[in-house]
Amino acid sequence: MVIMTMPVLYGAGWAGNWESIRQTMSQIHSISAIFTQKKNLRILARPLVSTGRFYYHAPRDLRWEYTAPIKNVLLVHGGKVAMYIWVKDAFTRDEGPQIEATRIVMEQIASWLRGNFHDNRAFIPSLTQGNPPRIILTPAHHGLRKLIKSITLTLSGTSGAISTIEIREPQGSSTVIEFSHIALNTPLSGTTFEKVR
Amino acid sequence: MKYSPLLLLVLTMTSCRVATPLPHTIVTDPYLTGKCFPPDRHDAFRVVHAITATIRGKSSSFIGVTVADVPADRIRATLLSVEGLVLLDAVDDKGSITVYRAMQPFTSARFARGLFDDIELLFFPPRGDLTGARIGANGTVTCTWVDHDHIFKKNAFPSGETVIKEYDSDHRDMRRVKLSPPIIKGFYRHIRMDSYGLGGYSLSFDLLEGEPLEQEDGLFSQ
Repeated sequence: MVIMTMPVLYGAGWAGNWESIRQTMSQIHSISAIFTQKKNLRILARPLVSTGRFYYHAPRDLRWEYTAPIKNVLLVHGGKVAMYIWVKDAFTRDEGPQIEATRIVMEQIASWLRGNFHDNRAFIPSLTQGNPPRIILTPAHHGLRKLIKSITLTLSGTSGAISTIEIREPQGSSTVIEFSHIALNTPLSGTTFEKVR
Repeated sequence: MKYSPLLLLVLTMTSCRVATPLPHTIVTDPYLTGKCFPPDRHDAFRVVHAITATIRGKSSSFIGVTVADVPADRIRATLLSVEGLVLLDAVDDKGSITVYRAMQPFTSARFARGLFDDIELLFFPPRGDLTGARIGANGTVTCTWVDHDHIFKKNAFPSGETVIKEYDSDHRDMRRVKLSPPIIKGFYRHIRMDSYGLGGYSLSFDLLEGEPLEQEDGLFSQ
């Protein structure tokens, strides 16, 4: 869950250090992007591909919308999380037990979107210099390491955007999310984070 | 204690079973027997579904990956959130379940047992003895199996639709499966399963991909 809701980092003049990250992200008020998610499992012959749209508005509103193969919308607005699924030609509220875990993850993601990687006690961040630079988040606790081995955010060296998020899981599984058509600080409808449409 | 609807679903996926064998006779006619066990069913396969689970009017979505070797009586099932999170990864080897990975609230042995029972009903020939088989005037093939205290009745209609019903020893409805064509590479495009009783639930499966397996290549091991 952590993985797919990771934000898109952006900032011209990316200097590859934590202060640069914080400074860059503090200038971002909104993000919209298209994403492709590839789930790799040992028992799959080929990655399971999902696509959708991502929206963010500072400081913590999110819209994570899957359009294929399953329609699913996750909204975070005013600190509240709502999930919707497409059933019988209409969106209906997802009442699954994962909602509480999602809410916790959303809080962490909102923190990361503001550049506060060190405030998150669940993961230990490290910054790998290079072209492109990468942020690696390693679970701090044994329990979480059973589920996630690491999260790697690959930054675009030219634009400062995160081009890829890779979540490594046990048993050779992974989730890779690629962002495209990224638009920053553009106006978003006030209902983007409130209504599933 | 307050339970989420899906957790209730999980806890009620298995039911108490009365250990009273039902009397029956066995169908031996090879022609009728052949009609009840379609030869085009894959022995070993991998299938991926978009799943919607509904209980008491509340729904949740998942992605299910199932690898099965029917002759070897082995199933590996991986349940994913739409976001790709592995909620449960487990193997049922001849009734012995090993959980490789599970997240709350999908960690209980009862949930895994219920999951594999449902998968068996969907993809495996019914267990037990074939006790009834007939072909109706409209071409519908009706087959009945008795497994100890459970009855399975399958109607395969000329339209390609198949309905499987499970009853207890008192002929009360337990589960119903409707497999709807088109059939793609040997897999139904849509499946709906209803489980009845106090903790009744429904599962809707939409085929994302499916393929027969020539070799298992360690797919059932961790």
